[in-house]
Amino acid sequence: MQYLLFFTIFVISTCGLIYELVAGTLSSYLLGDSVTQFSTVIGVYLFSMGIGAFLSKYIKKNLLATFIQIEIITGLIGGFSSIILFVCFNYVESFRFLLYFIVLLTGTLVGLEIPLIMRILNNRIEFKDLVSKVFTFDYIGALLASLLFPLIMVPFLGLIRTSVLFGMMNVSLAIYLSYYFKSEIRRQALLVVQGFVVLLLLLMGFVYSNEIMSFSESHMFGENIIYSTSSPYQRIVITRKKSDIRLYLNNNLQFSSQDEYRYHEALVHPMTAFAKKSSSVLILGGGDGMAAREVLKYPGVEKITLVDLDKKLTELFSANHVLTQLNHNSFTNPKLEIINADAFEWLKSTKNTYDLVIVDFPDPSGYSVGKLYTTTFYHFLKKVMNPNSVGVVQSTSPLVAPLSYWCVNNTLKATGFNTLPYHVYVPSFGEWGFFLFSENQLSNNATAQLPSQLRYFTRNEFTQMSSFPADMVKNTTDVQRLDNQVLVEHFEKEWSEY
Amino acid sequence: MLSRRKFLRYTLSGLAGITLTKCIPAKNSPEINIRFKPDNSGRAHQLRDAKQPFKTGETIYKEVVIVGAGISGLSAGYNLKNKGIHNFTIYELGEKAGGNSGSGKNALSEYPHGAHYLTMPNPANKELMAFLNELGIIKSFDEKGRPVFNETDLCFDPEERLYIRGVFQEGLVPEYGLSKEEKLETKLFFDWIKIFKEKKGSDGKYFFEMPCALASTDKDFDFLDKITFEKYLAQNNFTSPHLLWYLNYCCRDDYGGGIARVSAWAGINYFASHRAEPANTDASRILTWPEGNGYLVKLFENKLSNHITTSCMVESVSIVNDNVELLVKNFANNTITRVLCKQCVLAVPPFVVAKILSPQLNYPVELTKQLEHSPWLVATVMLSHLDANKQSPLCWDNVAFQSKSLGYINNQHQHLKQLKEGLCITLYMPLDEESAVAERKKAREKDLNYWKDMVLTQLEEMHAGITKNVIDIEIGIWGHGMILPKPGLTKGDTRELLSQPIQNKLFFAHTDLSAYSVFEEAFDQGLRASQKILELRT
Repeated sequence: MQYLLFFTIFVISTCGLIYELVAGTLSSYLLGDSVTQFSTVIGVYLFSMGIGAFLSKYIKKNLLATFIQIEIITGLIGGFSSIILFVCFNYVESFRFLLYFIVLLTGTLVGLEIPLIMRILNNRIEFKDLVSKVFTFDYIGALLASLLFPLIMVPFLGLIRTSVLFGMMNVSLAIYLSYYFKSEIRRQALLVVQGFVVLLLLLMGFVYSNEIMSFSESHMFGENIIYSTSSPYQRIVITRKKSDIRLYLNNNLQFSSQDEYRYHEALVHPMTAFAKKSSSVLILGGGDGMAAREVLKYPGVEKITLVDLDKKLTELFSANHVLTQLNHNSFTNPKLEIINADAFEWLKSTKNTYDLVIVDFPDPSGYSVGKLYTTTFYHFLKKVMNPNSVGVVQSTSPLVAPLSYWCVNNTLKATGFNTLPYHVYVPSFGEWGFFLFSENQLSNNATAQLPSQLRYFTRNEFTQMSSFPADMVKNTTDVQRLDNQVLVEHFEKEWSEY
Repeated sequence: MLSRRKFLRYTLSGLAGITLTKCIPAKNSPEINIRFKPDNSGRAHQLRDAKQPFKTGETIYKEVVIVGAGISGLSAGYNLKNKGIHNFTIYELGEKAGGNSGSGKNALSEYPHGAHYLTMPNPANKELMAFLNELGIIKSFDEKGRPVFNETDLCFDPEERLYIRGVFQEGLVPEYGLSKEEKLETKLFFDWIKIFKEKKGSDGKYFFEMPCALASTDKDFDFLDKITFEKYLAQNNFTSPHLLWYLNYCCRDDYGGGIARVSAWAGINYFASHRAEPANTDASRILTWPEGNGYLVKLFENKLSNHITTSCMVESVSIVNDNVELLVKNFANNTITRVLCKQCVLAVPPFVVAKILSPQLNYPVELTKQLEHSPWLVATVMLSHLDANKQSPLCWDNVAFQSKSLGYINNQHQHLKQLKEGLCITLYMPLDEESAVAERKKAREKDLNYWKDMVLTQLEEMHAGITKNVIDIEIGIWGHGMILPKPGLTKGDTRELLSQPIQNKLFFAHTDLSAYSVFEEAFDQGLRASQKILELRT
């Protein structure tokens, strides 16, 4: 009987440390900065174990039954902690609060266990043996956990299944104890029922953990995936590596938080420098809210309409605190209206016109998205622009894919736009290209005021940006049409050779 | 209360259940929703079998009546209206106009019930060009007079792919894995076709033209109508199995019968009658829409909406006291109307004319028995998705080499919007293993399961494992899908005799009379029949 209880100590200490390690790993995974995350999680955990130890004195009777009860609750909370944290990451306002709350809760429960078990054993063995054995098994359990966790559990089971598995061990032990001590505890049946219900829940969590979230992609990116989901249109993945947050759509990089300011400043500010008027702005694509953030730097902008296909994406960038920090909450700005619609269909139906039009679609890497780079699309675009309106379109890399880049130019011209090519260096992308376009001649509007807080773009810089060295120029007459999709073919070829 | 033993047993079996259902790979084939496309065969068979007893109700007068709202009938109505005749009605048996060009709609897309594209019109086909111009499909003509097409009506890229030897190749002419000799023979064939294509008769017209009414009347190539395409190809030493498969495919696609059944004239006409010169695309590009030629039907309907009466069976047509008298049974309100008119266009196939025309009018009923129609299976399939193939993107037309079917069309190909989950495709298959009569009999006897297996087998050939993605299948069976241009039909006198107007009151318009079931011929048939009526007015 004694040995069963010592074994119990061994198991609960292993489980307890595993929960702590899971919380620490998960928080550094999701929030970055692992030193801070680990030390705060460990600190809170140890502190709350102290709270548990303190509270243990208030438990006066039914020690065994209470102990088993605590075991079951610990298994439930500890086991599900990783799932709760992962799922809630995108939905709760303050993720840190939830994190420390869960750490506190598990810590307190685990902290209750050792004092209780010591009291249970107190009158059964001599005190010096008791203390010696309890702490021996406790520390051995801790050692085992600290070895198992990085070497076996995370590589083979992943974070989610690890925590769930140890939750199950916690609960199984509780069930076994309640059978073993059935003569000594009251309401034994109730504990057994509870135990099995929790075990069942955990087992379901274990079996369906892959459906709840997938870690398989993390190998592909070499970065921590902090969020991934599939919308009806695309796979959305957000990663973090130290302080760098990246967005991938269908495995294509959309931005890196380290250098996206270069891309988005280059996307938005040259256009305004050429515009006569900038009060109404249309953004097509741009579901990350970064282009909108740049546009909102102009106090004269009265209305922004953002049309993005993917509701999941815009909702994510409206709500998730890590991401809204990046786009400065642009999606909750009252000047901005988000329309989740297909750009082609929306353009067909709208009657509004805009002073500025930002076209920020994914690259033309397939025939479906290629439709958004055709003469037909630009004809539709013309209908929402005045002759004075200025637009900008992201047009892939003129260095890697010059044929593709200049094909976009030809297509805009074939639709009757004047164009102005320019490019910018974005470290995570490479050399990247854009076109300004307008029905009227594009001329620099010297009176247009640029915002003061830009990190990269200046009017002087634009002289540099609009000059093209020989390796970024290629002569082509190809025009992207729905019935030829030459751009898609060029794009595929040029990027595959790169 | 549960005893503990029971409780344990339930819990454990519950646990085991969860784990087991997870471990055993689910077969994952939820019920496929399958049904027949609602059709008119019930009504049509009332025509074929005995006539219903009826009592004559009210009598109405029309200047002109058109029987049948397929493309021939619609074109006739379009021409009449354009030329200032307004007092006419088109009676249609079905619930919707369109005939072979009808279309349907499901949660994912509109889709064709039959005809699904139009080739570039030839320069000689001025009427069709004017029609397409009026509809906005031709936006303008350039300085050389070449048509500028509306871009969204042109088939988007990528157009076609062929599944051959386990891979998809671009285009339908087999290339992948062919020997040098076979490739050369394919090239020779297309060079050879050019000779036919460029030949003009003494009247200055091409021998092979679309529509055929615009072709030369010289008889230099009439010999081609005396033998099958297969024999003629053999005589000219075309033996490459891949080339022959392709030619057979083309004939089945356009005529519902392979090279062994159609005349050499028809086979060569398929390739030699196209000489379009579009301004803004290549000459081989086709015009297509999600609902196929149903799009053109809608444009007709916009113009003719007040003139089309659907769900009406014309039970008999006779000439009484200088008027055409029709008895029209309206299924919508169960009435029988006597309709009197000055002229009537019978835009229905001759075998239907034979059933409804008064015997006193001496219609050459016996000749209609020479016309053979291929039955078709047209199945529209909704898929949850198609596993992406990096090497070969989904095309508009997707065909498998040596398949019984003609492959499938992606109905969402012409959608401008970005693709979402879910795919709607339409599989085409002429039922031509046995004679048309035998195939029709067989088709009538088969149930939904038979067709489901047939459709899935065809799709699995190209996409192994696709069955698990199938959500919904709509089976359409066309008993008389299209006229088969057997040897002797194009250049014999059958077409001529069946096309003869009766007493300058009854006129005939149908692709059977062109021996080619395509939009261009139907349009021309309708135009010509209505033109004769208009000429009587002046």
